[in-house]
Amino acid sequence: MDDAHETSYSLLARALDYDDREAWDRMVSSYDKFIYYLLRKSQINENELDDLRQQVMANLVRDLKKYNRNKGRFRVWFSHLVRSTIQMHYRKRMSEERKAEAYELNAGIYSQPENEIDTYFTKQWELYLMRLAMDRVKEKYRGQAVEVFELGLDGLSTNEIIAQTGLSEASVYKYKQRVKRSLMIEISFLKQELEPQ
Amino acid sequence: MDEEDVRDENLWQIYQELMDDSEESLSEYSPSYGHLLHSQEAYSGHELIGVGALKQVSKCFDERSNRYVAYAQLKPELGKEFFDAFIHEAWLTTGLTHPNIIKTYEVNLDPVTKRPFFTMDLRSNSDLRHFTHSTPDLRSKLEAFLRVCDALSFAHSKGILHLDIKPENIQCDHFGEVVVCDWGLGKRVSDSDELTGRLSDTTGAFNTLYGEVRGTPGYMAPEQVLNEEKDERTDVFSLGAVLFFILTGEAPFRGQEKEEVFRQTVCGLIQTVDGIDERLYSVCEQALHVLPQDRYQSVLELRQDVARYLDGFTITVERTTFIARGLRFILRHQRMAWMTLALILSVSVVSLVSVVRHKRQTQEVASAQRDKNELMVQMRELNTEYQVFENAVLESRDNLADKLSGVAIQAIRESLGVAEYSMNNDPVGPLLEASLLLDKSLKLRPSNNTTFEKWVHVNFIMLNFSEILTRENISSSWVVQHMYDVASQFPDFAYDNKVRPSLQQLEELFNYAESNNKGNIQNYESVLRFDWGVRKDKDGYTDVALSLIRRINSKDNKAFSVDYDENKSSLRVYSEAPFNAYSSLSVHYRPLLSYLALQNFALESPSHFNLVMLDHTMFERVDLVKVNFVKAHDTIQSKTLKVLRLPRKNKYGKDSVEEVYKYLHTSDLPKEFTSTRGRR
Repeated sequence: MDDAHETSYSLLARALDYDDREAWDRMVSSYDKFIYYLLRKSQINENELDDLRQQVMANLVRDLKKYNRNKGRFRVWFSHLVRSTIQMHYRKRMSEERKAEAYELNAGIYSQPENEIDTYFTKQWELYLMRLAMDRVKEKYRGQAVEVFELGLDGLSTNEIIAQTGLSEASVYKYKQRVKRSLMIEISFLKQELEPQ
Repeated sequence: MDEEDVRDENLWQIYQELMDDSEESLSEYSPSYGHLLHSQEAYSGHELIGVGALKQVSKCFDERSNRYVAYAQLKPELGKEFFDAFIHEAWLTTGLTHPNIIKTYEVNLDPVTKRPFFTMDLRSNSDLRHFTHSTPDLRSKLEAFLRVCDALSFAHSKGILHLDIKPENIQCDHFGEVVVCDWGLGKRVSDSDELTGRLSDTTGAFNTLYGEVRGTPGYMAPEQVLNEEKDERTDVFSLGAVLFFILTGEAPFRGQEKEEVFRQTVCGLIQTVDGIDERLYSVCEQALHVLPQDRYQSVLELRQDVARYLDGFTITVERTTFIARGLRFILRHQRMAWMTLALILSVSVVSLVSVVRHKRQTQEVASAQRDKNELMVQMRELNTEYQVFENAVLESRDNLADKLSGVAIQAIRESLGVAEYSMNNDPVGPLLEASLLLDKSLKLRPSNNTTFEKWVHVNFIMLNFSEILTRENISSSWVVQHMYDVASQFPDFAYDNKVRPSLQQLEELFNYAESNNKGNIQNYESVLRFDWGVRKDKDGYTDVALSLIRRINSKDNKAFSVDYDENKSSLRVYSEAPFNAYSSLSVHYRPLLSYLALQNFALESPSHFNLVMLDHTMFERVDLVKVNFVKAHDTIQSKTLKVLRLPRKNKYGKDSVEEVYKYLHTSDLPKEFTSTRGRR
């Protein structure tokens, strides 16, 4: 077994290879949060949301052990799993209720063509990783760096940030760079953990 | 878009930025990566720190490794024939990973010039020379020496010799870090190791390119001087020299000329230094034996003895009893005697060889080299005899003292006595060595009359009167008494081969001796010869020599007059008695005429003239027509003689021209001489 690179070992691998309960739980909860976030973003009907979330998670947990890293990237596989689960759900509902409008109304983004769904999924997954990364970076920086960075995120220009914080242009640039560099590092770790290779 | 959407959009943009693998983005978020990505030149800010025979070394910044390194490159004037030699030096050390051996980082070609270079660890600029002079603590110095031994032991275990161990090639700082560097003369001796035989294949070519004798005088072993087989014991020798340096601050072999140092090296004439620890000195001696088989056979053995010293144990070469120590002292000096004897023998044979060559008028350099090699072999044999002798340890102190003085007397006789020798070589070196030997001999046995007399004689020749006066005259010889009388007249004369009196002082001395009839003339001629040998500026020598000639010939109330015209550069002499240019009756001395820097010499004499007195003179025209008859017995040489006028008949009524012709050796036969023949 190749365990030379402990740091780059995905949670999935740890969960499976070491029968690591904690790793498994952490991984599942990360995906679960994402699914919740994704479904909310996708304008899924509030009534269906919890139901869908449970179905996706059930399928994910069932199929994760069968995920074969040689058959494509995890994100694509994941996206496919989520998309098919949701579409199945609506098809089932449609045949039950035989009401075309209900499908139109409730499926939201999942009534779009497949490639658009995948693009959307990807963007949401990336944003999710960024949020997780931001959370970790916030734990690390106590000073003004994160504050300046978040002002940038809110759409403030450099000059506006200077005016608001009284910092020099060089400092603003330096703080932003510092946070970005940390984000990049955190993203790398998160991808290793959550995107089994 | 609401506020959250704005944030998400910005966040996602940043994600795209961060995941962008373009060079621009990479260098922005990873400036160090960008530095590597964009650094055009690998090494910058070159600052020359040293130049050797083959390479020059500069300090520069390694842009990629982010540190200062030493950057060695082939000297610009050296062409492609040196490329491989240079690369092999680098490869030699890449194969040696040891904390006390300089680390080589990169061996490569300059991307622009395509010339080879290599980079090494940049060391502090403190070497063992500096360390030795700035560290009073012997223990730290010896511990540094042990590190050097470790490095060499390791290299030898990999089949690599350094061959240029000296204080300057040992980096040494006060944190105790010791690194052996500059492996430029290094050599692979065995291919038994994991590295290929590439190195040894080409070291031969390197040797020829680089000249025969390589190393540093004073530290290099005899076999390096003589360009013979080298092995681990060659490095042992140099380590011994470094240990000597650590103890004394000087190399064991010294001299103003390289040749002088070489001579001492092959003869094993280690400098005598007072105040050295006896036990460590014997370790040096053991490492510095002339013959490799007499030395420590490995660096490890040498290291062990130094380590034992540090631990307070007995050293293997140390003889513990008092008597043994005494014997060793005597033997040490006795070796010097033997070595000097060997040296004198070799020198006289060399000069003999050159005289023979001269007479045949051949100039075969190759054969001379062969002769020299034979002499070296002879010297080796003598050395071996000495070793046998040492092992026997049979000689008494007095015998040794006598042997020393015997050799010294031989040296004096050789250097001042034999015409051929003294003409072609100056007597200075052997005399100085004789003086040293006599000093030693007198210390061993102060009551030896012969030794004492020779000691006075040598010091008299060197005009070191103040030294003579430090000892009481124990001789009953009138010659010695005369020397003491003269010395006490000039008690401030304390001259040697470096400091000389003025010519005026010299003349005063001769005049005093002349008017007081002190000592035989031979002594003063020796004084003159020694002086001639060591004096750089010889202006005014003619006057000094003339005053001696006057003195020699003004005897027995016979008429003698000298007409010296400085402007015409000529000397006319009338001598009623046979003209004498020798300071004694023996012909084995240098004729005084040879000290005269004059073009013309004419002699009128009702008596005879011996042609041998023209040997080695600087005259161009010699007129002997008014001499009653000319004798010729020995070959004479002259580089300047153009015209030689001779009387018609010799003593026995024979044709003097015919007779003289046989003995004359000049660069060209004198023109006038030929025409005289023609007229007859």
